[in-house]
Amino acid sequence: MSTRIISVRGRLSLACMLLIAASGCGGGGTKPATPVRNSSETKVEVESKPAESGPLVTDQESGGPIGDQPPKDDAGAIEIPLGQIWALHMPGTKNIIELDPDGDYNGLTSLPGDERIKRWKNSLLRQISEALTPDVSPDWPREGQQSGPGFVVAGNGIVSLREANAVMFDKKKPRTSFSASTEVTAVFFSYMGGGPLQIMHVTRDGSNIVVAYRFIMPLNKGPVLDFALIPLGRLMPGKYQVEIRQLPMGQEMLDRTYGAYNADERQRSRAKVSGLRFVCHSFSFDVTKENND
Amino acid sequence: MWRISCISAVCFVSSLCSEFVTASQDTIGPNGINSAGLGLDGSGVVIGQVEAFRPGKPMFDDIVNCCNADVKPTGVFFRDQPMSASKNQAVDDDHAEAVAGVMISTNTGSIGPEGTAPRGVAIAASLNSSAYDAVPTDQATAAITTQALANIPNMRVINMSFGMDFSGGISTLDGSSLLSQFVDWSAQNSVNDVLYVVAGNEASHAGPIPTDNYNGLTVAMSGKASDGKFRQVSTDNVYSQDPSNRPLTDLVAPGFLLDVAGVNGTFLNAVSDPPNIGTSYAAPHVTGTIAILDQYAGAQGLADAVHHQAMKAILMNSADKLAGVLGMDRDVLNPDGTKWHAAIDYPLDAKMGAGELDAKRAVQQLGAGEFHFNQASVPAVGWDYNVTDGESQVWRTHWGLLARSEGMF
Repeated sequence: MSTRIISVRGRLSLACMLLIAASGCGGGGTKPATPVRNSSETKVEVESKPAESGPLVTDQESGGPIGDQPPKDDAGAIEIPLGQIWALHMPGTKNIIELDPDGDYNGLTSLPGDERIKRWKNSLLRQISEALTPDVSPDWPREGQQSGPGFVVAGNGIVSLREANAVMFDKKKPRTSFSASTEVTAVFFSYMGGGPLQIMHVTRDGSNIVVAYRFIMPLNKGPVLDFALIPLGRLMPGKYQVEIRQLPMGQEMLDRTYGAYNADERQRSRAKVSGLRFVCHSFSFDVTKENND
Repeated sequence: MWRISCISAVCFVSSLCSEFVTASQDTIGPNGINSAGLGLDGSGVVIGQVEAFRPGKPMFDDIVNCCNADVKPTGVFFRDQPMSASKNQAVDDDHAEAVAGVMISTNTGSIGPEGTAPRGVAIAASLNSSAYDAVPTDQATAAITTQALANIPNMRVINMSFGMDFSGGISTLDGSSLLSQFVDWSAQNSVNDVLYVVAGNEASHAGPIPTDNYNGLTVAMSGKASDGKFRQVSTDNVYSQDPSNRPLTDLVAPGFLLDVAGVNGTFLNAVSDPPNIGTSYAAPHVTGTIAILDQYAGAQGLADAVHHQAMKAILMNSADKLAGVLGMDRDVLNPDGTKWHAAIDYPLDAKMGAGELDAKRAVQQLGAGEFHFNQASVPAVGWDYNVTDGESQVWRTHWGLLARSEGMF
């Protein structure tokens, strides 16, 4: 619902907007990830220059932004702008429907009924939704159970969406090792019932990657699933830890009359439980020198 | 105070099927609640809808994405203010529209993602929708909003597809929250006598109030089983959040992967926000059914049937549990696939309530007529709305306590 859409990026948004003019940040451009000096949960300051990195490479299939040559470990924390993340229903991200137009049932209105249904049923996003929906997904965490880990796929843009679909819908075992010459994308998801939520920021500091999200409280009943593809680019060899971190609901909620929730410890506790149950958990993966693709 | 008795048995009322209403939506057809084909459309019945926001009203609201041409509420309100002051105010873009559509959508041709054209249960009912638009713990504003609708003359049933969180130091689902008390009080007071239909709890962290009401109907959702019939209770329902494990489900109705209308001719779907899944859409199936039952009662001169107690009893008594028993046409399944208890007279199941809503059986039982319990001969099927002086003392005492504690008297 539109009423849930809340701008949350604050200083980051402003900085990113400046970068849009300067370097294409946040607009689906091809500039590299943005470095940050401070990757704390509440304040993310963005420098006005791009990270020290190699030449840019454009994904031929998606045309979207992809990773650079491996950033130096001493380059400090790297911010992956929300504008480079493909996601469903998340403010500041790119609408993942653009990668899979058939995933927008209402965008197929010009087609005859049968064709419309067929295209919709076969869409990658709808199939992924099955993997996140109660009753139709055997993996949907019931009360007392917890979500599984997120994972990484090779590729970017539509390639990464296909790979994510293969894991989530076709139940292909996710890879845990990738070549340094391969672009990789982190797959973030939340089972239906957990959301609505939004990714607040994604940072990488050396081999530690943090995906920080928070819940947006719904006013009406209604389960929501969430899904995002976070491009990590090509990475240096090593073992990478991806931390899925839940943030508290913020001041923006207070301003949007959600204040009672934020002040309610019980509600916070419920959100924490909901995060454990429905939102994908932290995970790790390896990047090797060898071409293991 | 009031005694309701419904006796289940096979009953056929031939006049019910005199007119066939074309309806392609699964949820109101034989796979769903079986309301299509009864010749009833809710005509002349006043019903209500309260939510955080409200559906748009075509030709009245005029902002972008306000309305669906097939979903036309009779009246729209903001809290307790009439529609003249509420143009474009608190209009929702999808949820409220979809809930309203389950009740009154007139769509006959546009096909949704599940392959059917969503058509309301009671397309000719007069729907009045109001938005409380307040913080999720502001139960008083939600109650005031609901009261305004309940005071509309001849209001019979109000749909509540929302949930509020605990407040006022109350943190248990024992019926003591303000909004739950309001529902219980408003339902039974002689001015309103309204049946409230409340969307049941889901795994999402929306608030659970007023699912712990006593005098309304709390509705869980079902999806399709392998035979294509809505009879599988969804795992997404939450049955009890109270340490005392008080049952919170009275009925089950279709709510999982439905074709439901959004604004501008769109449809909710599995990846939309909100999706086409939720107790929010199960509840209005019950609300719409009450509208057609009221229409039928009015046409048949069954005056006592419009009381909320009678309507609630008939709906619960006519719910499906086991196929082939007393005219039931489906086995209702628990989330784990197990059937209803071997004993058909098992009172209430924690997950299934009284079973799956069956509008056709409800009309049959209602149509069997009212028979006073002290008559010499009482037929196998019938009902009675009357006064007793036994168990009723419990009811009277309970209502009195609730009302006094909130200063409602």
